[in-house]
Amino acid sequence: MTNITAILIDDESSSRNSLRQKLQTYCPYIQIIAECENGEEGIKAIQSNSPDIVFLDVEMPRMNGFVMLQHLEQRSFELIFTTAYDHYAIRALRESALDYLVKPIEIKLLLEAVERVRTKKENNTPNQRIEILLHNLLDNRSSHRIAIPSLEGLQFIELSDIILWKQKVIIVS
Amino acid sequence: MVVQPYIENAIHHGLLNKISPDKKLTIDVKFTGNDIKYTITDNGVGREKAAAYKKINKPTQESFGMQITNDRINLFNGKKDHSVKITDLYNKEHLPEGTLVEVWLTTQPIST
Repeated sequence: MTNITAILIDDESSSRNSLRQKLQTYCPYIQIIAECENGEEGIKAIQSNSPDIVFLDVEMPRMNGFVMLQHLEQRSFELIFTTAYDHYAIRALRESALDYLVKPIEIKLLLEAVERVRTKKENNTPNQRIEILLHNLLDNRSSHRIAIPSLEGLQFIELSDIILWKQKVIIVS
Repeated sequence: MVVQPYIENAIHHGLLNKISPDKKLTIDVKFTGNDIKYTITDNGVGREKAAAYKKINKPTQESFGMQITNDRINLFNGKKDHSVKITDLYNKEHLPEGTLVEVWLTTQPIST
């Protein structure tokens, strides 16, 4: 099994400790190459280490996780947000189809998220999703877009273009 | 309880946004005549910088906390204003160095 490198970015040391311990215990193939306590450090660590996964906290002083992403030119990593329960952030993450874990992190959900990162290598989609997230959050009052996963990949639809929403579930056995 | 929002603000916006580890919060309570006077001082980044950070990080969120708390204290005191005074602090080089909040609560005589 090839090693996966990861960076943890969270301003609270207790959150970093807890995530580190869970990763060491349950995902030993993940190698934590840096831990950062703010966005400024996070940018430096990502640029100098090029990790496979970034675990990123949303609420941080001075520069939150979303703003930190804005400052990165290269986003060639898989991203898993870690956040306390917060409507504002979670809605934005859902709309952009990005992976997130609500703290305290459940081991089962952590393993699932890590597994998704390991198995999926869809070209450029993480970056596209981050674009959508930043578009929705930071372009004040402009139209919101939502990411819809489909067989062809992610489709991005303006929320204001949606009149009726129907879902059809086909189970193939 | 009444001054808690000012203390939370001092920590959350003033001190947590500060990079230097020299962080200090002072809470002083004393009687002055018929009033209880609370003084909350922090040596954080100051209101202007805190507001700038907030604008970057939460551009769409409006804040009402301070206005609501001020209104509540004025109502308690039966005054229109002058129950809360906020002063921006500066160091010798005239750079922002924290915030000073003074709150006066009128004491109510206990009727027997």
